[in-house]
Amino acid sequence: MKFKDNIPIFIQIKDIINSRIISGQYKMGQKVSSVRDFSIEFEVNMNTMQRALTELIAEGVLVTKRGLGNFITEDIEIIDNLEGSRINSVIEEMYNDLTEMGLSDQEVIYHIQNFMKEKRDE
Amino acid sequence: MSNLLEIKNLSYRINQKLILREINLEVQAGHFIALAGENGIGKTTLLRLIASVAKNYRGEITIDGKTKPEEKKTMVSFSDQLEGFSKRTKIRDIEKFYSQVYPDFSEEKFDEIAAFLDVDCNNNLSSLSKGMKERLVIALTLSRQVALYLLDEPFSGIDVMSRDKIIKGLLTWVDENSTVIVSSHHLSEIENVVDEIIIMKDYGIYEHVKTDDIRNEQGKSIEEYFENIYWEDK
Repeated sequence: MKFKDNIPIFIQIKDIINSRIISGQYKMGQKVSSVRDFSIEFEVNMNTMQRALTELIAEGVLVTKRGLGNFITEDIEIIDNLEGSRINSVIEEMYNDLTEMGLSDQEVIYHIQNFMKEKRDE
Repeated sequence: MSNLLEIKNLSYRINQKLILREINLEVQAGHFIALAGENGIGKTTLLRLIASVAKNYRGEITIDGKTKPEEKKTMVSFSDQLEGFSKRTKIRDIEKFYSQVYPDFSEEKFDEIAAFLDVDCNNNLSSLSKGMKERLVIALTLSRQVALYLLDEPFSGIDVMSRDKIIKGLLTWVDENSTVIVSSHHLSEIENVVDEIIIMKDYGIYEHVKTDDIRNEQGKSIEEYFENIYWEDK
């Protein structure tokens, strides 16, 4: 697994798991891997993995059932919020990068529209 | 939480020459820790002292509350460089030696790791390349069931592709309640897998921190952060 090297790994893992939920790869109510299996999948140690899962549980994205493991929440509101905040954070990163280059808001919109137009024409 | 490893005011000299000065360190169970520092800074010496291989130090090294070397040795597995064995020794015989000396050594686990690392146990020690010898050392070290594993530059002669495979293996072979300390000056290869880092500088410990805290607070990779510390005074 390749991680960005300047962002805490547990946060990057949270983002990956959240993305899997948003994309439907993980279904609502589905059981997810154990801490150990996840740590092997992501090639990180168990403490890092545990930290990511603990936060996802605190945020209500994962639900622990004693003795059974962790499950994706069945609360549709939490999943909707997840999607909203994920979209926001992706746009924010892009927006920050572009404004740092000196682009104005209008220019940002112009380039995005241009990009999408070229994408459609491909 | 009590400490698995506790070092208090550790100083060490060889022939009047200062090697380590006033080291204080606390390590908990269940962590994966990088021990970083430039060559010759004393990483190997520190590991040898923790493993009770090197003696005559000043200060205190406690492992799980124990201070006697013979008690500590039962709790630490150190990557020995196999210098005590004759070159003609068969790997099978080294395995037998380990299983006799260490009651916690699992031949089953050794066979599993050795097979995973493509170590042919019918070979002599002398026929092994540097990288192959390092793989053997990793297999021997991790086949003991202990609270603390010390790996001293375990990958220096191993090619990058195999390193990735071995690092992944480390996650499966080591019990979750055990702690692993890996010394390395190539941090990029282990920085994702460790959750803490101990940085040595000027005969002592410069810092002992969580790797995710470095990424969070500095916005830097662990390797970048480490290099900055050394560049400061150059």
